[in-house]
Amino acid sequence: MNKEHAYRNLKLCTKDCLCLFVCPVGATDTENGQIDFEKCIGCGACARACPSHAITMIPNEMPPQQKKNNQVVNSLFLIVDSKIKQIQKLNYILEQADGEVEKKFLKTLIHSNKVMIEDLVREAGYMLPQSKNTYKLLKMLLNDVDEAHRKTIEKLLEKIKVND
Amino acid sequence: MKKYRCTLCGYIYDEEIEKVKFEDLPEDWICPLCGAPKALFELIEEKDVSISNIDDREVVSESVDELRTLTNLELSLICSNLARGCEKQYLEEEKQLFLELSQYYEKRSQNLEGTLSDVKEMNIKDLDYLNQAMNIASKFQDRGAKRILTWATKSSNIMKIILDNYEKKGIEYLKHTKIWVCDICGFVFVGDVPPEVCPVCKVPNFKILEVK
Repeated sequence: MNKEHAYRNLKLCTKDCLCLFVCPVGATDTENGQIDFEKCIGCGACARACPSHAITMIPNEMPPQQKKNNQVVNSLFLIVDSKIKQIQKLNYILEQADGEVEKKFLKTLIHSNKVMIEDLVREAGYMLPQSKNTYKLLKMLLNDVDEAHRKTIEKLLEKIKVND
Repeated sequence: MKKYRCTLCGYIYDEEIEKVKFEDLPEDWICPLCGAPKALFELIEEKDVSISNIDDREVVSESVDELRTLTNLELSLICSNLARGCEKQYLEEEKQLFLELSQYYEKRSQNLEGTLSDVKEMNIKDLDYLNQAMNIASKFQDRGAKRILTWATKSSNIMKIILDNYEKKGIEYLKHTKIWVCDICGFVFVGDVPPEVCPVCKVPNFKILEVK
């Protein structure tokens, strides 16, 4: 079993086609522009040959995420909770707002807080989709969810392999 | 002669070179590199005091075992963050599934009655929480946490200044200009063209998005 597979970043690919010349199994030449992951043997020849640095080797399995100290996690969630409440308030103000400029301003603050929260929860134990934390969270979410989204959660549980 | 450092991007204002005392600069003077206001500059002290309490390092405990109670909006943002994680691994289908969940929990979240001055107060309080968390992250030498705390402190500081300006000038402040958010660290920029790289997280500016 290969440890990794090639992935083409289509934003960077300038169709230099060196990957086609070097690929021993013909996995790099496809109609949709992406590499054929089924065929790819993970040798890395295409990534080394690509003059545009558009191909990267993606590990098939990620290493376990860094363990987090409880005190660190708690201190991060203190900030998360505060910023969550700010977004809830900003959403309330946004509902009442009518001026375009005011709305744009409120949306800016909401967006900024969201980005910060996403990163804070990432460092508070939810970095990898493959982590046990994520798995436990998804399992718990099954307890209170509508039918359509139960399916979404089940699909995720089925697709993502836990790595720690 | 003194030197001042921009706490956002690190630009150094050297009175000896500039020939103008920092305190004599007008209040609306901004950092020539990243546009941060004057208030975000700090005096560079002669000697850097070294961190003393690094010795009482403790053994990092196991990962969080019990699940905390999470609000709908927290769940929404954990899911959208995991969607980002999938995107980075080029797991397109999983990314879409996490985004679906994120939207679902966002819809379930309820708004809280409040005003902009409440938000401003909470934003100021965040700076204390951030500082406190930074001390804990340093104690346990958690580099990842220190990184996000550094970014979030800077972005929250900028938000404070922007809230101040909006309170003072009202919509005139933003009427004839664009407003942007860095999609990586939350840095807010008011102006027509964002800096080449984000002054907070250093990402190239195609990740700094205009809010419309």
